[in-house]
Amino acid sequence: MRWICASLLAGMLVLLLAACEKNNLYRYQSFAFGTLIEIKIRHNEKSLADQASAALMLDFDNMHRNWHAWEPGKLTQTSDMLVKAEWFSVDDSLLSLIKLAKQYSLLSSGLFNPTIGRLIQAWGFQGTEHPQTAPSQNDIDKLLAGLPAVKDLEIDGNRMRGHNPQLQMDLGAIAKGYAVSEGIQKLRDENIKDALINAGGDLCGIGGQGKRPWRIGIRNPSAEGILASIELNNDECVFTSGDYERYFIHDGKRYHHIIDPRSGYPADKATSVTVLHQDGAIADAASTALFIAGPDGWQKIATKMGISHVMMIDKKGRIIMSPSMQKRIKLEAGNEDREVVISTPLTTDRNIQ
Amino acid sequence: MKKNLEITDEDRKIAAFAALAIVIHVLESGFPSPVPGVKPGLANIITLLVLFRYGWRYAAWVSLLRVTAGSLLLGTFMSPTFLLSLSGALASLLTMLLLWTVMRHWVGLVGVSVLSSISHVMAQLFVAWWLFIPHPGILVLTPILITAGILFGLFNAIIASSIEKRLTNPKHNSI
Amino acid sequence: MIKMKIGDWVILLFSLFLIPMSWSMTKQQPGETTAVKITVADTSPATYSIMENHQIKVTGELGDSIIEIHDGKVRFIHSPCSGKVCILSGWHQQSGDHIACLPNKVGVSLLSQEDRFDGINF
Repeated sequence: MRWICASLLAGMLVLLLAACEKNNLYRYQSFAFGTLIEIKIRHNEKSLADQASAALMLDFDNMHRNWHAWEPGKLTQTSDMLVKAEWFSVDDSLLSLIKLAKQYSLLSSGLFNPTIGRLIQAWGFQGTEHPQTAPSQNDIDKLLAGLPAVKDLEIDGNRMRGHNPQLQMDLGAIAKGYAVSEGIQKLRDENIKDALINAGGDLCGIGGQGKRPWRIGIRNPSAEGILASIELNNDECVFTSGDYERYFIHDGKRYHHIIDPRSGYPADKATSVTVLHQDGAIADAASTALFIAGPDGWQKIATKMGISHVMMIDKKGRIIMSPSMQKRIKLEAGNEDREVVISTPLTTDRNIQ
Repeated sequence: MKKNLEITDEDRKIAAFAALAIVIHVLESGFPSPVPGVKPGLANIITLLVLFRYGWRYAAWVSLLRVTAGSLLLGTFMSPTFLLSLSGALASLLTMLLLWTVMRHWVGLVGVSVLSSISHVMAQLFVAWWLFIPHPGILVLTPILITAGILFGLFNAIIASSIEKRLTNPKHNSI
Repeated sequence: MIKMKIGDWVILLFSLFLIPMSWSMTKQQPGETTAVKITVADTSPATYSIMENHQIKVTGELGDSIIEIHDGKVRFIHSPCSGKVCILSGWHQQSGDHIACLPNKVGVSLLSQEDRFDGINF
């Protein structure tokens, strides 16, 4: 009898301790990629979550430094070599990213262009300070005249050669997406099934919050509060490009950082574009490309890039959605009187429903 | 084998203690409590005294009789309140059983009272969450109830201890 | 005064540790309240904006409870329970706060932006 009771007591204590070990949500925050990165991991082993997130933050930091568009690092070195028009070898991980960027650039009909660093620099967006003035029309014309494109990047094995003296790599529109997706993969490799990585508002998630999926709120681009919400289906990323992220106002006009390579000016056909896709890199690149494309051109580009879930807010505040996106998006209370336009179905089904 | 329905001495003792506990319980329920669900549980003093004097079986009888008869008298029989009371009583009885059987040499009134009070509170919270409000919000009550449980457990132990001293004082008659 | 055995001290120490631990388990939600979530028994909860003045009637175990949202605050104005604790607790507006009518199995939670979403995309 004593032993039964003793073991019951011990059992109760173990249960008490075990209760502390059940699946918990761990949150980590750090600065990398010039923004606040938040990682949420749902797991029963705190030490594993701690380790995994620390490794990830380190990776993000390294990637940020290696792929920085203007601060000296691997990418700037690559840009320097490209201008020399000689063959040179490229770091493996950077090369993977550049290859991907080239592929997506072609699919986006050049709207996403990772080689126009000079143009972006002319607008002052390559620097941590806020730019003050717009470049002159003259300067822009000169830059447009020899504007590089990904076709000027010749890749052979692990070597590259540039074919345009104006080449300057700026992977800003894809690096974050690529990094977050890589991060998700690393977590998966560690057997973590539920996680959410949010890099300054662009995020990818796997699994969910146990009983329910990850719930994401999409901020209203022009006002405060949340415009809509979406629940992630297992492995998905949500990336948004907007004219409100980095901009300056000059002479009463707002100039933001998403430059249309066709005009040399900040794209002005949309306020924001949100893309839902399983892969972060393409979601990132696509949100930029579709933003530049605007309400009249986005469908063609989305189809080419294999994107089926798109939500665009145009300059008039209209919400334009693809039918598949409409099924996933839940507009927040208070937005019912906004004009919503559902596009014709995009003929892409290379990805998720 | 003929079963006697004779009332034994043991029955009388249990009945007497249970009656005492019931009276205390009913009286206590008349007092308003600042936070709903938080009560000193003074009837537990009886349960404790019985446990230490006569053993666990006596204490179990007294406790369960008190919960059942008390709820019949208060008109809460079979209600949510009753279920909460019962689950709390069962949990604290189980704790008492474990402590009494295994650790009698190492724990006294204070330990038993405090630990059984904590398990009483936790069981009630769990039942409330499981059967009534499956809401994470119920967790908000945890710290308040646990703190109250510990404090009242201590309080009851002190009172029980001073009563016990008087009982074992040779000047007074033993019960 | 009281005879204290070694086990008593262990239990007391354990309880003293338990108190701050249980308090830390229930931290207050940061952020302004933006929504009110009403749960009835184990049916799916319904969420309402705190911004819109509303009177919501729900049917629980014992009958109808009426919950009012007004001026960014929420309260129970009617409930079939005997204690009426839910009504007596008055207005609530802090995010992370909860009101409940236990006998009627109706729960009301005040949610903030942070609570509603696991991540904000912008």
